[in-house]
Amino acid sequence: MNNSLDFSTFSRQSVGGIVFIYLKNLYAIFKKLWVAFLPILASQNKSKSILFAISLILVVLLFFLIKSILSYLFYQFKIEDNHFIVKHGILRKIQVSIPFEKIQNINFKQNFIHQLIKVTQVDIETAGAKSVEISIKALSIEKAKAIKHLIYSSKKNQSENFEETNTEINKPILRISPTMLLKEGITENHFKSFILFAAFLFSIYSQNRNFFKDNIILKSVEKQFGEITNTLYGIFILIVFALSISLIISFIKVFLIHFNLSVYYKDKVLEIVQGLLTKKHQILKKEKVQSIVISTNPLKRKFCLSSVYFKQVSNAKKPGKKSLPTRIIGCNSKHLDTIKQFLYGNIDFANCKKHKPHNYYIVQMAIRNLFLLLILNTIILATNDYPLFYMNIGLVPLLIFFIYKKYQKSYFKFNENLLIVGSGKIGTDTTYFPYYKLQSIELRQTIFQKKRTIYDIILQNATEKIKLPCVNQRTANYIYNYFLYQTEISTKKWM
Amino acid sequence: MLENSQIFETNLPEIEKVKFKRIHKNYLKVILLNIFLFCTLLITANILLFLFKDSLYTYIQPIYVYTSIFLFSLLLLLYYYIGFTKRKYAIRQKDISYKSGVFIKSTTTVPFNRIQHIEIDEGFFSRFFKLASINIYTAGAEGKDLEIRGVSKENAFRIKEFITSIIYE
Repeated sequence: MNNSLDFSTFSRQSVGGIVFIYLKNLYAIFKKLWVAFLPILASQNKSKSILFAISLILVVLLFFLIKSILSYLFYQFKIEDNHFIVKHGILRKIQVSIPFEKIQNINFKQNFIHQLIKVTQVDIETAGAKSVEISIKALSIEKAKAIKHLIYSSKKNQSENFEETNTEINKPILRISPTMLLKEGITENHFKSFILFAAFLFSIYSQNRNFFKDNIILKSVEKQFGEITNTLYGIFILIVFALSISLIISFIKVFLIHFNLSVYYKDKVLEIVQGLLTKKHQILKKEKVQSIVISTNPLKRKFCLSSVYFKQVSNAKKPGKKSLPTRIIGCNSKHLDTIKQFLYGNIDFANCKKHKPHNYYIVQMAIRNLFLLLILNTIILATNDYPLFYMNIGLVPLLIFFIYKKYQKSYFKFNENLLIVGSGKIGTDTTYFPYYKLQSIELRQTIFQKKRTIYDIILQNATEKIKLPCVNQRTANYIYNYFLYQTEISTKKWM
Repeated sequence: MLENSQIFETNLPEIEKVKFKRIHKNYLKVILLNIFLFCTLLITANILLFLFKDSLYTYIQPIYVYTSIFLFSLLLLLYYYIGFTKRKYAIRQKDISYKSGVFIKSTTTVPFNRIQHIEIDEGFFSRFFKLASINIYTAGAEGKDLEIRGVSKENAFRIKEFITSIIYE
């Protein structure tokens, strides 16, 4: 065996690892403290405060450099009789040992610095109640592959159902070209991007409120802003401005996350590779996917595009931390069929009835919205800001439109192993849930629903709650009994 | 080969026909104690406020405050009493179900083959009456899926034994 690929004695990660530990530390501290530097930069007594800031920054930089080098030096790993052993910690020594059979996935992650110095981050995911996750920040690709191979080959001997994923052999079932990305960027939900932007601005403002208060430039901006919004033309410009910023944010987001998206599949595993700065490899195991949501909006439909969200049980289950679903974009109907075929086999819904919610659902939504309107108007009343009442003129038709759309789009149907739920207001979401994976089922009935003998059904799976609103009694009882029966006799793996 | 053959509506085990068992009647005493404790705290807080001559009492007569506390606790009592009568549970061969709710009625069922673990929890007051609550956890997104309060301790442990014997089979 080549000496550099011998893992039986403790070895360190690639020297480049220092860079990553350092950058990660700095990034973490910068994220917390960057707003604190704003007032210093803008304060009146320039020369003194800048000197202070620079010396402060230097001390912080030096401190973290030493910390990073030390943690590099103390981070060691080896492989010994089917265990992966890691030793780390500067003051507090920690040794972690993971038996190979507990290892679920080995993922490589490369951002562009990794790609430059030809190393990769290696994440070792494990299963079990006490989940341990190991992340080696930088390892040469050669070594990383050797470790992966070593672990997988010994796993293979132990159990047959473990598959090694090899992406080079298969042709991708989906590959997104930059022009497709462009289309995706245009058709994104810009409202979401705008909220992101607004939230960002607001957080800066609220963290530095004092600073903004006594700044003269900002005051004049505020004054002018007030004047602009007084004219209709000004409002128009403002809307265009907000729209273009949202558009840019959407574009950047789509390009950063989904650049060069390709999806491969093999037997029981889907592998998704995407990302511009950080190339992300994600592995989706068939049985771990609890449900998928196919989502589209009117604009996307024009281009025949939809996104797919895979809701998967995460290996490292941290309480209170929800793992985001894996999202792929730019799927046309052919891609969707391939994915559905892969996950659920042939889906036949020819003889299945499409169930709509009871009409009472509209009433329920209307009452809830009315309630919200009432609260809003009371607040307006309390603040004496009477012109704001005109907002109702726009808001009421909008809410009615939303309720109408929501009712129109909500339906569900099921066959002997799959439940399909339609939902959405402007966009359309279609959830596919193989209901033998349900964790619990609940029938719920308010006193108003009792008069009409209808129920809400709440299905809980390992990642989310799925609600079927206002179902008539006979269907509700049938679903309750039937889904439970199918779950209880099922011997298929649900995770 | 599909392992699920078609089953007709009439052959399905029906939850509507299951006989649900009420929770132990002693649990009513626990509820009463809790409400009593809550109201005592409320009244003490008011007396303290009165002693320190808080500005509240320059506007409102104390008699109104105490009457409203009294009425409020009566309503609370009524609500919890009705709630108590609605709390029922049932165990079948392959699942456990629980019914509850006054204004919003709910029936929840958890299949045994999805249960991750079971906890038995004895509250402070419950311990005096030899009662316990059964907490059933699945991998569901929201953690605790089923909580049956006010089961006799003996019964709770029997249920736990029964379910554990099935899930670790």
